[in-house]
Amino acid sequence: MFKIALRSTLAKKRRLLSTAVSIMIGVAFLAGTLVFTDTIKRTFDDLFADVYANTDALVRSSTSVELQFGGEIRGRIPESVLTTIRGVDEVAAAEPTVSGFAQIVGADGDPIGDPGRGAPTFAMNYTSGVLAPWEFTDGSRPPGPGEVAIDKGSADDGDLHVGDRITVLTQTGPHEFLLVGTVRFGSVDSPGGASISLFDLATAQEVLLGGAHEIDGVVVGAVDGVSEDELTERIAAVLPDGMEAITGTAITEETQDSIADAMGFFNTFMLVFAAIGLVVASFTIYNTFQIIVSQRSREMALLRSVGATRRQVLVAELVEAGLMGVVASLVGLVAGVFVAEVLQRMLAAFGMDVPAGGTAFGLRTALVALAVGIGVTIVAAVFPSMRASRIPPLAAIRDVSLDTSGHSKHRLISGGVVTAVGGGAFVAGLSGGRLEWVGVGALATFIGAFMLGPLVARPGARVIGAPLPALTGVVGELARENAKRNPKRTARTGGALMVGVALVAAITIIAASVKDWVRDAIGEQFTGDYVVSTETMGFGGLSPDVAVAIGELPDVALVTGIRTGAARDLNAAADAEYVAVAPATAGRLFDVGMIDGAVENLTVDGILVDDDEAMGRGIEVGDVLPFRFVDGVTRDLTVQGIYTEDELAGPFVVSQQLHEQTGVDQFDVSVYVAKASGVSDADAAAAIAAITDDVPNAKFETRTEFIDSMAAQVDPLVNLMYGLLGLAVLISLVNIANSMALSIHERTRELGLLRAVGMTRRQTRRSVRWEAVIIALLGSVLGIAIGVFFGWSISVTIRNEGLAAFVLPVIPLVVIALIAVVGAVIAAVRPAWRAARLDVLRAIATE
Amino acid sequence: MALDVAVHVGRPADLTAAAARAVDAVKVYGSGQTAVRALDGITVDFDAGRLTAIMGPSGSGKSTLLHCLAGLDALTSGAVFIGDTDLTTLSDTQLTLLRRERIGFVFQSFNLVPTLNATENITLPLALAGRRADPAWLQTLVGALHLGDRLRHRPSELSGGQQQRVAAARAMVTRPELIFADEPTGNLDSKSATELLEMTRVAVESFGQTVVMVTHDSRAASYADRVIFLADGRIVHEIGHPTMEGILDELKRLGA
Repeated sequence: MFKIALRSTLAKKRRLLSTAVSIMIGVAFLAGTLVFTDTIKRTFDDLFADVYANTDALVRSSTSVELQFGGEIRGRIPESVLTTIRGVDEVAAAEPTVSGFAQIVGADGDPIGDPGRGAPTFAMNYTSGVLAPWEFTDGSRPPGPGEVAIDKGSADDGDLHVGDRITVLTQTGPHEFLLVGTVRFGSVDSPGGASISLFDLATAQEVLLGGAHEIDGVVVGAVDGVSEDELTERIAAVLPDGMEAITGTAITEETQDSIADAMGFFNTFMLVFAAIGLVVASFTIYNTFQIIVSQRSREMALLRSVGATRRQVLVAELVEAGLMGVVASLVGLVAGVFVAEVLQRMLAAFGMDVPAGGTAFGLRTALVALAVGIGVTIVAAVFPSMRASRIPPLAAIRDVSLDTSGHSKHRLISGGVVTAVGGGAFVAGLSGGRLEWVGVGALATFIGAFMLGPLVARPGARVIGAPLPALTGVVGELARENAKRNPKRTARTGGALMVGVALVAAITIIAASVKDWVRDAIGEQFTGDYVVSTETMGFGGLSPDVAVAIGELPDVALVTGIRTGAARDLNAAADAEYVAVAPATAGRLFDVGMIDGAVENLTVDGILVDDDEAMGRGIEVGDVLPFRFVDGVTRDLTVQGIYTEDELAGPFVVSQQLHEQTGVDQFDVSVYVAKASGVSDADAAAAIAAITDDVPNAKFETRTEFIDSMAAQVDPLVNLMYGLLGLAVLISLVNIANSMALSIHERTRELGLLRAVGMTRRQTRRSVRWEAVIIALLGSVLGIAIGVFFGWSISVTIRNEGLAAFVLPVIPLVVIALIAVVGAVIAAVRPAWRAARLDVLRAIATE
Repeated sequence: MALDVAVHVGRPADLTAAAARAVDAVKVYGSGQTAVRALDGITVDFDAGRLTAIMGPSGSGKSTLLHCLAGLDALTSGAVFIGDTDLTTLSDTQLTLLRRERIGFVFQSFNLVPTLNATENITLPLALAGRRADPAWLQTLVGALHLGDRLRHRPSELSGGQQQRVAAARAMVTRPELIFADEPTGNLDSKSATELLEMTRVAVESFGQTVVMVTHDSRAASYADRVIFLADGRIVHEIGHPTMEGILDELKRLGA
């Protein structure tokens, strides 16, 4: 029986190949994602291993606050600790490290890098000797006062050369330096795509810390014969409170782990799309096998009538699926290496520049991709194979039975139940914050819709195809009738497309809703006229001098800068991010909807809390909340007000005075401005722009522009998701091409007859294309219906303002359907061509 | 000995126009050692307003001749004319349009499009041309073929005989110059076959239809005005106004 399966598989190599394409694409994407993330991880691992290669111990502050999306803020330590450490016998060398936000300005005047989205841009002090992780590629002199060395990657990007005078932006504003050298790290020109400036220690403290005699840490090398652990223990023994010493191995691992954590989200994100691709691919496999089984039912029945058992038929079918899975997965695995390359470029195109040097192709990648590819194929083939095994021997002498699934009560009930349960799980998962439920619910919804598909296929095709006879005559009518004749197949063929379209539609709705929400929120809350902002969110920002300078303009009535920070919320035992404002002005430019207290009355030991947070924890005005800040000091903050609008303010607001006391770098992430009354728009704008023009990372916008650009912030992510969903859509188009080709094959004689009685090749092609259009529209309409449900429930959950708080972007949804239809027409080109080229005589040749 | 039948059967064009003509038609399948001459230089005229049957043993080339006459297959050499049109000069689209406008078909099986009902199947060639059926003519056909009460049915709801009569109506709906029938009674029981053949005679006699029919069945051939016998790709004999006995004798002689 195995031999029969093998022979029948090999006899249909082309069919095997075209069926395998879908699983191949899915596996290629999965393998590509794994290769890609492995490559990034290895690049960073190698980098940090290099950076800390000569470090035996690291001394640093023991206080840190974790940020939401990976990363942490750690306090600084006094420079004086160096003397203490150098006094330890086992220490051979100890070098201070200082680092902070810095952005190099290129020769064209634009800052290099995009720290808001891509790799960080920062500066640190130049350390020489064995502890230095870098080497010069140009120049050789360590930077002195007024001088800088930068990484070779940034030098190339910004067209900067040794001897140039270059500008570097820091929290203390733009500074000009003489470029004395370019460096690289190990073999990397720009580690992780980061842009790095190197100063001498005094300059670093001056421009990065505003002159404080503090350092981030001390890297220590041991004398020969002393182990890391021993050294670290000795140092720890002499350190004052609030500091810790860890081994070089520990800091390497810690850094590698934090990168892995930060990458984790991205990794999961990509794998979700790989999974979507594979789900669509499995629908495709399922469909193809169903068609193959019905086309082969005579062959099966013949096998059964000459004595093959059901089991043997089942095994033969599964062997075929398995073989296909193996071949497809192997090809997909190899293609994955190229996909990894494409992914990297795609992300770069969407503004997320991720480094990757030397492809990392791990055993895990191979095993996972093969197991998933083969597994998905076999699982998708199980039901069709079981059906094959149930074909009675008598079918060999009977004509193939008619498809009666169009009106099955059983199907209606089971499909309805699965859809309802899936939808329920989706909504429940959303409201409960259980993402795995959301995923499973979505999958179940699709499967349920897939089951219900045959019930709607016939009436659906009738409605969609209704205008066709009038438009295209008998060609369109034939197309419509063909789409109706086998509702199961039509539904399955459109079903794969349904999944892709549903997800694209959902994302479109969510994006539109979020944009609407952002516009509403900012429109209502921001009462000023202009905004100066920076895209370097969370990684440095605008020097506070910018706000001061703008405030001094006679054309300006009010100005307020907004800063962000993080501290440990001791009552909640969690790290929390906060917004720091200038109480005197913030409330007059931003209305956060105070329901108790007033922003103006916020003092240095006070805090404002969002009403959801307050309600959830039973916090009231007058309560005291202890927070431990980055400087290691715990401050008891009195709740001085409650506000309702948390879209921009987040859960906590404190005063800038407090934020300054915690010793962290001071940056405004945005500066809000209201012009003085009687001043013309043009005058005010010109005056402010004159200041911001000198600050390369400042973006000056009017109120309208600001609202637009805030709303546009979701675009890169949405575009990336569209790009990734393109994969699922591509697989579903392969499915359409596949099914159409198989249907054409099945209809050879009918097509021959039509050609004989006068259907031209052109009419034949048109008929096939129209059939594809009907199938695609059917899939798209169902997909959009599901997408609207998903999009609506997610939008409503995010916004949390009632069930109507979402936007239905009608035109984009129509465009999605049109794109799906165009894709289907393209997918139908080859089947249509084959149908038109078909040998007319085969229809007439009697059996 | 192959007879040069054309000399005997060919009539002057001014007496009766030939609806179709093959001139020195040669069809070779394959090449070299394995080449098969399915048609080996056939020259024949088919008279308008007559029912001509083509008979011969399996592999004699009768189906190939029919296919080439109908423009479904291309000759290796020689020429085929429908009226004055030389089919060998036509493109695929021109051939298709010619089939649609000037030729009708009835096949042994799979004669109808399963997704269309009887009326739609009958008018299919007109619909493909974007034309409407002449209601009176349609009425006449439907009446002559006893299909009046089956017009809304799909092929799967029709008996074999009914299906074949629908196919016959479709073949005549465009009032073609010529109808080609390939074993039209092959899948029918004898009662249905008789009905179909009688209707074919009616079409020839009442409507002046020209029909060329390939058949194995000597009883079917006996309805013809003339029977042409093929063997090994050549015309070996012909009988005018045949009888069953004459046909059977000839077949016996041919060893079919």
